This record gives sequence, C-alpha cells and structure tokens, in this order.
Amino acid sequence: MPHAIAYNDGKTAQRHKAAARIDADTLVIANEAGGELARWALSDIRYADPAHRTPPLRFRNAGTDARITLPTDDDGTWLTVHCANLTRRDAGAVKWPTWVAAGILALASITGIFIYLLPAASSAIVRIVPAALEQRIGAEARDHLLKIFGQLRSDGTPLVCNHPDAQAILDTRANELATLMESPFPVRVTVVRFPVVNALTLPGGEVILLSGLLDKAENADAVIGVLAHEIAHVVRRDPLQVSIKQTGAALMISLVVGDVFGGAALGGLASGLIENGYSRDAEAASDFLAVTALNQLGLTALPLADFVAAMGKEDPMAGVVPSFLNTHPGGDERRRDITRLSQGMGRAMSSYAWNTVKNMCR
Amino acid sequence: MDQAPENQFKTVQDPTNAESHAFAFNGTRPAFAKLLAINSVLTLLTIGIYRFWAKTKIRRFFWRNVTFLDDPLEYTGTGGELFVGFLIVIAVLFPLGLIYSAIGAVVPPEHPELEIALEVAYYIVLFALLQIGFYRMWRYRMSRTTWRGVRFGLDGSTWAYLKLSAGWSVVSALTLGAAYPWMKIDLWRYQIRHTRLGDQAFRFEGDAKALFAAWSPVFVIGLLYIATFITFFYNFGIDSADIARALREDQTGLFKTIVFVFVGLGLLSAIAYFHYAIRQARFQISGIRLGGARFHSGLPFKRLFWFAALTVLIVVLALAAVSGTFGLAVYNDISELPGGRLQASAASAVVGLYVIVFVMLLLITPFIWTLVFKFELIKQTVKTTTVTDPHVIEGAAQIADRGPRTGEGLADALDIGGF
Repeated sequence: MPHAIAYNDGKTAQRHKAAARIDADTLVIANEAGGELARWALSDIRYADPAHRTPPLRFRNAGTDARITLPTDDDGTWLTVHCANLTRRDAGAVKWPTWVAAGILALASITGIFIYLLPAASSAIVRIVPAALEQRIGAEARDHLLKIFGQLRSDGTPLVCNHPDAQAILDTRANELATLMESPFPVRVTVVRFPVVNALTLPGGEVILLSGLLDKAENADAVIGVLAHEIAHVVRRDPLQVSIKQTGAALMISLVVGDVFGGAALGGLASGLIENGYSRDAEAASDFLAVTALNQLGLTALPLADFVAAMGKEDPMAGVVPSFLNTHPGGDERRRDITRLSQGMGRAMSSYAWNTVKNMCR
Repeated sequence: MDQAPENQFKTVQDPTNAESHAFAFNGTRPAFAKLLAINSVLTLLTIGIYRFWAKTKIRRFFWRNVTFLDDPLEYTGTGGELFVGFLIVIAVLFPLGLIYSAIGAVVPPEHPELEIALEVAYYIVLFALLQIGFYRMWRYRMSRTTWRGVRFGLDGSTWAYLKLSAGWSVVSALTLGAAYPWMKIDLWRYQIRHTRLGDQAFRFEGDAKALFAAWSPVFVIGLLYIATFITFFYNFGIDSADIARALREDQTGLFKTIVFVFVGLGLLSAIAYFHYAIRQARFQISGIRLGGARFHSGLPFKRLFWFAALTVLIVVLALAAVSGTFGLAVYNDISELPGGRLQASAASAVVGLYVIVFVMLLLITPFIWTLVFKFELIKQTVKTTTVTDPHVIEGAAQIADRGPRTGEGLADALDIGGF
C-alpha cells in the first residue's frame, strides 16, 4: 500500500507530492500519476538529522541531496523497520576511531608543545637576543616592578634601601661571583624594603633582594648564597627564557580553550600556574653554578642549602604535586645536592660588614 | 517604535495583492535547555574541545526548527569540519602570535613611537582577521545549510569584503560614527548579493538613510560620552595617581558628578544601541529579495528589550545574592573571634566557597543569556519574517559547488559568530 510523502529530488527546490511503497529491498517513489520518480535502496536510507526522530520525519538517500518528508501523522515505522543504516554517516565522513586517534594525537602534540617545543623554542630565541637588548628589557622590567612594590606599600619609607656602605659590600661580592660565572652582563643588586623572604632575578642582570630576606637570614653566607644562586640565573639567562616560555604558553592555552572560560584572561592565568618560574633543571643547574663559584671563592654553601630547604617547606605545592611534576624541585633534594657539592669553609663577610648589610633597611 | 521601517524604493507591483508566507519556528525552550546543559557540561569537561560538536548540535536544533512552506532548513555541517578548521587556524595563528611577542620584546624601550606602531599594526591585523573570519564563517554556514535538499552558498571574495569593510571603517571613524548605518548596510548588501540558494542569487534593496533616525540617539550619546571623557581628563589628568588623589580631595563634587554622568550615559547608550540593533536587523531582513520574492521582518523591539532586561536582572541578582551571603559569612566569622581577628582556616574556607560559587555563576551566565535572550531573539526573528510571492524560490536549482571542506577556524579563534 503506497504512503503519501513529499519528495525533493535534490536538483531543485520543488516539493513533489508523491507516493512511496516498499518493493523488496527498495523504496519506490512515484508521482501522483503513478510515474516513477526515484528508487532508493533501503540500505541507503538515512535520517536527514539523526538527532531528530519525531514526525514530521525526513530521510535522505546516502550520498545524494534528495530528501523525502513524511506527513506529520505518519510515525514512519512502515519504512524505518526495513532500514538498517538509518544513522550511518556517509562514506568519506570520518569515523569515530579516527577521531579518538586524532584526539590522542592532539593531546600528545599539545603536551609535546609544553614539554619540549616551548622550552626549546624559548632557549633558541634567548640565544639570538643580544645581551645589550636583554639589559634594556631588564632595566625596564625593574622600573615596572619597583613601581608595583611602591604601590603595595604605604608606610612612606623609601622603597629602595639606599645605604652606600652596605650596597658597596653587596656589589663587590656580586661582581666577584658574576666574574667567576662569566656573566654576559654586569650585575645590579637592588635591595627593596619589603617584608617578604625572597629574591627575584629579572633579565639583563637585575637582581632584587627583598628586605625580608635580610631579616630572616641568620648569617651573611645565606644571603651571599642566595645572591650566587640568583646570579647563576642571570648568567644562564633564565628570566628571559621563562618570560618567553610563558608568553607562548598563554597564547597556546587561550587558543585551545577558546571562549569557554573567558579565553585569553584564563590563558595568562593558567600559563602562570603551569609555567610558574624556573624548571627543575634550571634550578639544579643554577645551584651547581652557584656552589662552584662559591667553592672557588672558598665560601661555604651550607647556609644556602639550609635556606633552600626551609623555603621548600613553605612551597604550597610541596606534598600536593609529585616532585617530578613540580617545577620547583623539592627543598630537601636541593639541600642534599648543595651540601654534597659545597667545599668552601670561609665566611662571606666580617661580622661588622654583615651587621651593616643586615641593617641597611632599618 | 515598533513600526517596521519602510525600505526606500518604489514597488512596481502592489505588494498587498501578492501571496505572503511566514516562516515558522517550532523549537521549545525545554528541549533547547536540555541540549544546552549537556553541551555546557561536556565543553567544560573537555576544557573547550567539545565546543565544535556543541555548536554543530545547536545549529542542527535551530536549523531544523525553522520551516518555510512546510519544509525545514537542514544543517549538514559536522563538528569534525569545525575542529579541523580550528587546527588549521591554530597552525597559522600560533606562530604569528609568537612572532608578534618576539617583535614586542625586541623593540627598544627608548623608542615609544615604535611600540605605538606595533600596537597599531596589531589592531590592523586583528581587524583584517576579524573581517576575513566573518566572511569565511558565513561561507561555511551557507554551504552547510539546505532547504528541500538544495544548498545555500556564498560567492564573492573575502578580499573584496575586507577592502569594503576597511574603507567604510575609515569613513565611519572620520565621521565619528555618523556613517555607521551606511557601513553596516553596505557590507550587508555585499554579503546578501553574494548569497544564493542553489543557482538563485539574493539581492538587497534598501537605503541606510532610513536607519539614521534610529542611529542618531546612539550617535549623540556617543559624542556626549567623548565630551565627558575629555572633561574628566582635562580636570584630573591621565595618571592613575593623580586621579586617585582627585577622588580623595573631591571638594567640589565634580568627580562624583562626572562619574554619575558616565554611568548614566553608559546605560542610555546601551538602550539606544539595543533599539538601533533591532531596527537594523528588521531593515536588513526587509530588504532581502530573491527574484520577485520579497522578505519582510517585524522584529519586535519591546518584547526583546524586556527579555534582555530580564536576563541581566537574573544574572545581577544571582551575583548580588552570592556576594551578600559571602559578606555576611565573613562578618559573622569576624564577630565570633576575639580581637576582631580573622581565623585563617575559617576565613579561607569561606573565601574558597565564595570563589567556587562565583565562578560557577560566571560559567552559568552565558547559559542563561543564551537560553533566555538569544533563544527569544532567534525565535522572534524567524516568526516575524514573511515572504511575499515566494514561488520563485521553489525554482532554485542545485549547483555542484559544495563549499569549503572545513570551516570557521578563524572565527572560532577570534570568538565571532556565537554558535
């Protein structure tokens, strides 16, 4: 018994009133006068939209643009029970195993970009940046950073601790160390009045010591040890490399994530978390370089080892992230390596000099 | 206000005698909400990668629910095509972004003019990419839209569209925005003239003059806005420290007045622009022709305005409720402790909870906006569109061109086009 349908031949936008009947394994579509319009193999019939299976039902003939539409009161079972491939995609369309493979490949390549490409590319870029340019970038960054520190404080005391004697003591030690490590830039140490135990290295030989470090340090060797470590970063040009790597990571994340979480802003944030600071290798290499220089000067690195271990305990990521994933190597590991390497016995400053430096911000 | 604008042309034939057919929209909000919810969750879980398939499902939903002469539109694109388009664009944009960052790092700081030049170059490239991305997106969408099995398509060149857009942007900027409606309509004319159903090309009839009345409030408010800006900076300088000091020492009340005017003008311009946007959409649809078939739109401003206001209200109230609860929780926390000190563990738990709820809300906001407002906008746009004498459309014949193989990567990366 023929069923009333509407037929689109895929060649024009005409809607043909038609009647359809099933003849063995084909659907025969005929016009009202009985003239045959088309024959569709039942195995080639697909839902026009697999997500839509309620009347009015529409079907297509695989690989063609032709369509049939059933009336609103026809649930289509007379046809659908005979069609085995209603939801199959056309040949040439990509099948799901390919998508799974593509997904795994995409994930692998994104991981590869973060683990290998970004570090390698940023190191390569660092090598072609002239030292003079890095120095200018560093000086610029220092001014910005001092401005930010200035805005964070409001007690009216000068931001930079300007004590010529103490500064001279620090500069002498810093440049001895820089010379031994063959630094491409002169090192400029700026001591900032800020109650946080930390030291920062910017590109181009700019080292910033926060006064909290001087307050916390028990002796001059800890301060000079930290200074040596930061100068090692200067020599390795790590700060420039990290900032290039972070820019790349932010770009990558914002492109992949798209607009789901507000795109670019999140890219910057997430890359900050993922690429936070120096890698394990960079830290270990800097420790090695610093301790070697301290050894050459006959200075002990043991206070640096203790200091690093104490700082590691305060790292909020310690114990949460497995140590091989954490970009800050564990304090205890670093203490072990520094202690093993340290040979010097000498002290970095006389007790008079240490007093001058320790109190330079008071 | 709700009167449809008249297109500026003379008809030869009396339109009232011609047969008129309306588009129908059959989608329901519950069905759409379910689809949207599943899409949102999957997109979040896959940190965004699912969005290509999500967009495809949403388009299928809207397309199949638009019917004309009893037959629905059909969307034939796939998520895979969008995904591949995205990968291709990533491969182009990522190195481009790196190069830009590298140049930025190499610019000597003592030459601020070079930095400005770089900034300008950035916006020029971004502008060009936006136009190219938009036109290519439209081309892809048209090629994946069929009616009665016949594909739509877009001819014309992306380059020509970019040139037209660039020229008009300059004119619009030079006239302080007065030429904006002419720009929009001229670009639309280009887009529609190159859009076709099968072998039948659309065309657009209409003169942007008719839109100027609706545009003028936006234009005037914009000028007032600029004037307020200038007054502000003239009085308080552009350095943030100067502005902060002015706020502290605001004796004349000038600072507060200007901020008040700012906010007021902002709100007014939002409403005026919304009104203009509806008028423009109505005008754009009402000028579409295909042979003797003429489109007409009666998109209602008031109804859509209330839906937009409702959406904003829901979001603002939800955010305010969360912020209020947070404030109260912290207040209670403090008052329980001696010496007014905030206990670290309790405080961080409260802050953590607050942040979670706040972020959840921010994530839900686009969901609410799409479900409440965008759905209504699409529904009303479809329902209020009629076509007189549409039978020429049925004569459209398929042509072999299947359009681009992949789609919309650029539009996705630049975040244009919604879904």
